[in-house]
Amino acid sequence: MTSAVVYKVRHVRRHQYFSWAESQLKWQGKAWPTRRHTPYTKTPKSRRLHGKSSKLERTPVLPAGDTHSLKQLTSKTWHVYQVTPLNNFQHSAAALRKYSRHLSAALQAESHKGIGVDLESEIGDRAIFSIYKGLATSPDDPEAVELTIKAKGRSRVSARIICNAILCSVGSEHRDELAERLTMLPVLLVKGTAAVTRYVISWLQAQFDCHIRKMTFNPMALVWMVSMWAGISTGDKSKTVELLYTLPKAVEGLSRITLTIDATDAKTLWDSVHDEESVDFTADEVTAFIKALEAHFFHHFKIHLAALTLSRIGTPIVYIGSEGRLKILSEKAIHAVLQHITELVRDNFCRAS
Amino acid sequence: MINTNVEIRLRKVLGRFKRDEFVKHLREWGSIPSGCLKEVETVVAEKSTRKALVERIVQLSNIKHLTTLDVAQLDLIYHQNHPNNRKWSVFQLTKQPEQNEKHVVTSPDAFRERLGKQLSFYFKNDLCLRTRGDAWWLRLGIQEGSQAQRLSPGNVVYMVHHPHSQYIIMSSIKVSHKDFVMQALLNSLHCSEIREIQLTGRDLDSLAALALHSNSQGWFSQFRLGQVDSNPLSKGPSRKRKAPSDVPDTDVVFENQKDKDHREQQILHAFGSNRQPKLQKIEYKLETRFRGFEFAPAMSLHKEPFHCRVKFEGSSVLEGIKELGRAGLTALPLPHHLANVHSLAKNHFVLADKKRTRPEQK
Repeated sequence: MTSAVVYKVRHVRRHQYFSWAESQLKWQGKAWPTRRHTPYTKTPKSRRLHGKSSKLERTPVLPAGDTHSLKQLTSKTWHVYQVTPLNNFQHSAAALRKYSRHLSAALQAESHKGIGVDLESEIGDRAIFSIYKGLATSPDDPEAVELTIKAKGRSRVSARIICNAILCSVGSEHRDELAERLTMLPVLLVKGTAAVTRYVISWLQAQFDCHIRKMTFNPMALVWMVSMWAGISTGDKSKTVELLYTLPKAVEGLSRITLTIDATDAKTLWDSVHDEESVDFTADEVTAFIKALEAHFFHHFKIHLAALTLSRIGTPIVYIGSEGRLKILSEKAIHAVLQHITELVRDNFCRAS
Repeated sequence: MINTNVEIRLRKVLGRFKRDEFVKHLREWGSIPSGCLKEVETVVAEKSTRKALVERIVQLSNIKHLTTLDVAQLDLIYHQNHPNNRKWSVFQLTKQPEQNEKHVVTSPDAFRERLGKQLSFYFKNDLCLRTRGDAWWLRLGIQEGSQAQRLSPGNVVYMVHHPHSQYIIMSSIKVSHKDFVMQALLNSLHCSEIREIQLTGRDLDSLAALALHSNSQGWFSQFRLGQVDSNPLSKGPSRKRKAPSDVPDTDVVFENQKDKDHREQQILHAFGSNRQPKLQKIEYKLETRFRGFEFAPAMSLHKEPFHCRVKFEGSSVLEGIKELGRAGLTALPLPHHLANVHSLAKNHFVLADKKRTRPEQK
C-alpha cells in the first residue's frame, strides 16, 4: 500500500447520526438538552400560580354534599398510571355495585388458582368501587372513582386493605369531543402490592376496553414542577427543595447526587427570578431558576449537573419521582398537583395520537 | 436456665454462617473437639439443610460447658469475616505527651483485662478480644436490663483498634452507653481525649486505610504499595512484540486525543492508579453565598448564605468521582474538597465562605 492511500484512509471519520425528533421523544438519559421542550398549546391554567384561576391559592368550590376527607391522599406514596378513555363506564350506584361484584369474583377465582400462596402475594377477596368526592373540580370532570381491595378478614369491616386505587380527572379543560360512551378519567393513582396492582390493571383494561400505562415524568417535566412549587412557603422551617440526579451507567461506584436546598432560600431564589406582577410564569423563568442552581453547584464542585438525569424532585408540598411515584405532603396542594398531572397525561395522549 | 440462654445465642450465631464457612470458623473457635469436627465436615458435604446442620453442631458441642463468653467469641469470628454489614464510625484518641513513655499498652491480653475492669465499673459485660492481622478486634456485650434486652443486637459494640495508632473504629453504640464506654477506653488506653471524626462508612478496611494512611493516598499510594521501580534501569526494553490494540478499526480517529490525554493525566495525578478506598457517602453542607447570579442577577444583592446540602451516594463514591472525570462530566481539575477526600480522613464536610477580616484603618 502506498503511503498516499494510507493517509486518505486514516482521515475518514465516522459520524453518528441521530434524529432530533427521536431524542426529544425518548428521554434515555442523554439529558444535556440545548433545546428545551416547548408545549404547542396555550399555557394551561394549572401553570398559574396566583390570580383568579390559580388552584393553589383559591380553594376550589366543591359540590355540596359530603366530601371524602382528602387527607388520605397525603403522605402516601402513589404510583401514577395514565388511562385512555374508559368505554361504557357508568357512575351510577347500581353500575358501581355491579363492577364491584365482577371484580370480587375475579379476584376470588384468581386466589383459588393458587397464585396467592404466601401472605405477601395475596390477591385479595373483595373489591369496592365508590365515588370519591372532592376531586372533580371543573364542570368537564367526571367524578373520581375509588377502588378498594380488601383481603380476607374475619369480619367484612375489619378486613385489611391491600390495595387502594383512585381514578380521577382534576380540572381538565374542555378539549375535544368524546364519543357518548367514553369517560375520560386519565389519572390512576395506585397504592398496593405489585401482584394485586398488576391484576387490577389487567382487569380494568379488559373490562373497560382501555389501555393503562405507567406514567413517567421526563426530566423537563420534573424541572417545571420543581420550579412551580419550590417558591411556595408552607411556614414549616424544616421543609426542603430536593433535586436527585442519577448518573449514567458508565460511571460506576457513584449512583446518585442529591442537592437539598432550604425552603426559604429556594423561595428567595425563585422570587428573584420570577416577575412579581405576572400571573403566569414562563419557560425563561424556569430555565433561569434551574440554571442558577446548576451554576451554584458547578462553582463548588465543577460537576455539570445538566449532563446528569434528574430523577426525583422534592418540594415543600410534593415529592415526585421520574418513574411515576408521587407523594403529596399537604392537603391544600392536592388539587393543584393532580390538575397538573391530569394535564401532563392529556398532553401525552395528544402527542402520541 | 443459663444453658438455654447459651443455646439460643449459639443457634442465632450459627444461623448466620454460610455453608462453606462452618468448618473453618469452628476450627478457629476451638470449642468443638476435633473428632466432632470431622463429623461436621461430613455433614456439610452431605448437602443437608442448614437448619439440620446447625442442630447437629449444637448437639456436638458441649452445651453444658459453654459460656456466653464462648458464644461471644464465635460471634466475633463471624464479624471478623463479614465486617461490611455494619455501619462503622472512626474515633481519634489524643495522648498527652507525658503519658507516652510511662504508660504503654503492652499486649492485647493486658489491654483486655484493663478494659474489662474499667467497663465493669459501669455495667455487667462480656468482653472478648481477637487479633486479626495487626488489628485488635473487641466485642463488647452489655448485659444490662431484661433478658430480651440482653439478647438484642443493640447492646453489642464491636471495636477495632490498631495498636500504637491513634484511631479506633466502632460500630454503633446506644446513646446511654456511649459516655461510659468512652471513659473506659480512655482509661485503659491512657489517653486524654477521644473524639469522633467525621468519617463513617460500611467498608471497614477502607475506613482503616483512610484513617491510618491519610498521608499516602491518591498519587502517593504507589509509594506505600511499593509500585515504584527501585532501579529505573532494571527494566530493559521489552523484546516481546506488542499485542495488537483492541480497536481493530483504525479508521476511527479521536479528534480530541490531546484533551483526553491531558484529562487522564490530571485524574492520575489526583487519584493515583490504585483502587480508591470504598466510601458509601460523602456529605457537604454549603453555607456560602449564592454563586449562580449569572442566571439570576437579582441574587447578587443577597449576601446571606444560601443553605443547601449535597450528598454523593453509591457503592464506592471515590471511584465514581474518578469516573466522572473520565467521562467528561466535570471540569478538571476538581476542587480540593472533592478530589482530595482520600487524604482528608473525613466524609462530612462544611463549606463556608472565607471570612474577610478588615485591615485596621490607621
